[in-house]
Amino acid sequence: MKFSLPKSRLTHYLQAVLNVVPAKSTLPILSNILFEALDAKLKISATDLDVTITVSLEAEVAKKGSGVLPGRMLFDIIKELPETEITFESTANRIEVKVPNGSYKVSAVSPDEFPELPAVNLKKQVNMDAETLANMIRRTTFACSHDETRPALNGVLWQTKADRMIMVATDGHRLARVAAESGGLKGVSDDVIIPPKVLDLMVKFLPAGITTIGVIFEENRIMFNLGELVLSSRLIEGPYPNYSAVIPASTDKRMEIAKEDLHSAVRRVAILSNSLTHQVKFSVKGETLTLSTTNADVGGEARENLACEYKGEPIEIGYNAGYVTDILSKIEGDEVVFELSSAVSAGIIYAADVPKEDFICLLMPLRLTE
Amino acid sequence: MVAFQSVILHVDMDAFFAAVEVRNNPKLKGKPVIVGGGIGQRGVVSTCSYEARKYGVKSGMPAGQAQRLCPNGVFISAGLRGYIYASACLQKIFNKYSPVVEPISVDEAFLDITGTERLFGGPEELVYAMKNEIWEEMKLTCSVGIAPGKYLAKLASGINKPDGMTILDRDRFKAIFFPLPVDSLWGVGESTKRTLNRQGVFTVGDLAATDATVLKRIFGINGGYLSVMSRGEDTSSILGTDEAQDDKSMSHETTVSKDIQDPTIIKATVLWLSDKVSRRMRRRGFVGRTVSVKIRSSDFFTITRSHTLSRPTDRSDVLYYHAMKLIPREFGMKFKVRLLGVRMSELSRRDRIDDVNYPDSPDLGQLDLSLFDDEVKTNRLTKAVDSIRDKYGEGSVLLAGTLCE
Repeated sequence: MKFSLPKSRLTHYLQAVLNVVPAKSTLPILSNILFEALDAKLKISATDLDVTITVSLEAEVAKKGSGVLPGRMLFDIIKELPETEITFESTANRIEVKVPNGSYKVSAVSPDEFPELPAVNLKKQVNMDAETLANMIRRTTFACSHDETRPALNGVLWQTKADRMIMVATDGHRLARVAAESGGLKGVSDDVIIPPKVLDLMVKFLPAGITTIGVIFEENRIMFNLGELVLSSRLIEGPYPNYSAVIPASTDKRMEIAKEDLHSAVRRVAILSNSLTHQVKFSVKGETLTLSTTNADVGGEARENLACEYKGEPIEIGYNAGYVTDILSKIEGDEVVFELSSAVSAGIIYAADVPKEDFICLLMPLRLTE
Repeated sequence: MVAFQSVILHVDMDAFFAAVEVRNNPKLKGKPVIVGGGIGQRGVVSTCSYEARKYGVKSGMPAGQAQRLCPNGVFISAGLRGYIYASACLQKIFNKYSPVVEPISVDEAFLDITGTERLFGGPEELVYAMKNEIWEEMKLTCSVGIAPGKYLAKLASGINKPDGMTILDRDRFKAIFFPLPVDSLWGVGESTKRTLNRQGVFTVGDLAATDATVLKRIFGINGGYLSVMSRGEDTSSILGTDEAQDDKSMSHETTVSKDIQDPTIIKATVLWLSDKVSRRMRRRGFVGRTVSVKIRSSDFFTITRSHTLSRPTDRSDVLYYHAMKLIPREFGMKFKVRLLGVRMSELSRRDRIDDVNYPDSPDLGQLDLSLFDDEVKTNRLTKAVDSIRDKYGEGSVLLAGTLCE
């Protein structure tokens, strides 16, 4: 194997690939990156066995072949170099990285040791609107659970219903549901549960100006084809809990309020909240929302009044401020709506000018302690 | 004269199961005796007498192969109760010679005899006395290794078998082991050997000359261990009986009756093992956090993998899910599977954890969406199944997913 390419191109892609290289692993081979020099093309891949990333880039290939190199070590060497052409050449059991003023030789693991990478089956590819998909992902992954004893909740549910596609994530305390036109997806796949890592990476590396994303559904995997970058991930086995049963069908209280005012007020008041519960009390009466918190540990107390439009009996309800701000940061538009029924049941939160079918969040309250 | 800072013995009974059988039935004396577990062709040789070893029969070998190698062999199926009784007698003798005994299996133990010189006159004298007592009391022989650490002691006991005693210090280790292939070290198996050979490392001496950092890069934490061991710089001390026998893990493994390649059967087997392990945990009131799997391919290449969960569990479905995740894709596709095992470790008493199902959200007042009705149902179902099994036996209720073949 022998190839050359400019430093800046390599560092850009190495950085992307390193996102998948596990910091610690019981399998030392996974801390490595696989280089495959093909015809005038270089492929760089990494995997943590769940998520696999492959980037393909143009490079000057003098001799085809493949090699495996320690990822972070290589990146640390290269990032310090000035802009230059770097040449990689493999010998019997080492790989030499040639730079203008010298060279680095690193003992290389055999490429056979590297886990087999999933093949890209372009025939099965469905093209989807990039912006729609990215937006759905941005609004859901935050709500996934990290509790490994409920594996299904560790991912985002992606399902199609008639002409709509729906993504749902929940950790049992809050839930996000987003929907859009299903486009080419209709009838292609059953419901799947996707680990958030691959989704977040896809949004992060979405190339500027890209309009469509190729999606490939395999039996236990999903792949996203972003052109020069292909991401794939193992899917999570279901079943996913029946989320629609927990979305309240009717509520008797409705509050509409300026989103940014509420967002910043919650952040301020939360500073004095209990450091474990982050409890902030929402008291709505007439045309006023009062946010308040007390913190016995620091002997502090906070209170702010905000104007709102409110229909319904007065209510006092406690929330984890972190959950409220997470949700508000995902809501578009100037006005946000809270539909509530009681201090111990789920509230529905959505943007005033976005149809509820398109995007809602549910939030369970904290039991008020006073 | 032995002058180590600490003195560790490794006592290894000679062909234990076979020796017990021969002792109980003197007609077998001098015959190739092969003791196996399991039934029929798929049984595995547990132990064989030294007469049988001359034919190339080894522990761990499939019974069928042993039969081909040694057609005149006397095959005896393992009578575990007798061995366990003999093992308990041995333990009593060990306890007379050291307060710190770490049993490894029914027929092997480490003894820390540091500081016993005044009582017995020195390690060699102690070993003679102990070997003599084992012979007088039980008519069994053993081989003993004396070394400054566990690992060297284990190697030492294997040098002069049967009925031997070997003192192994660092210099002697170098003289004996440096020219030998790397897999003569304890813990170096087929795959480690292959990887080392590819790096140009063939003998223990080569390994000792390899930079520890290089080994760490290739093998992770085990690389450091390899480096220390290859230089004979072992001073590992031993665990007392109490610690060693503490409930640290619960596991179940099975050598399958036919090498499997079909992923559905692998899944069914893992499900069955997960059910077994989690059932035992529930029965004994434990929850565990670390899930491990052990897989051996038909060519005896073994791997173990583990993963620590965000919170402990005793649920078989959770155990199954994470166990399956740990099984590399290659198995059951590229390789045939011969043995599968599932283990749960980092155990805690269930009653010491406030709420197993919600321990990471202690009652901070956060309310839950009622998404988990299914889970509540599952827990109720598990309890019901457990009580049926308590009453009518383990086979009375089976998971449908385990019913294949």
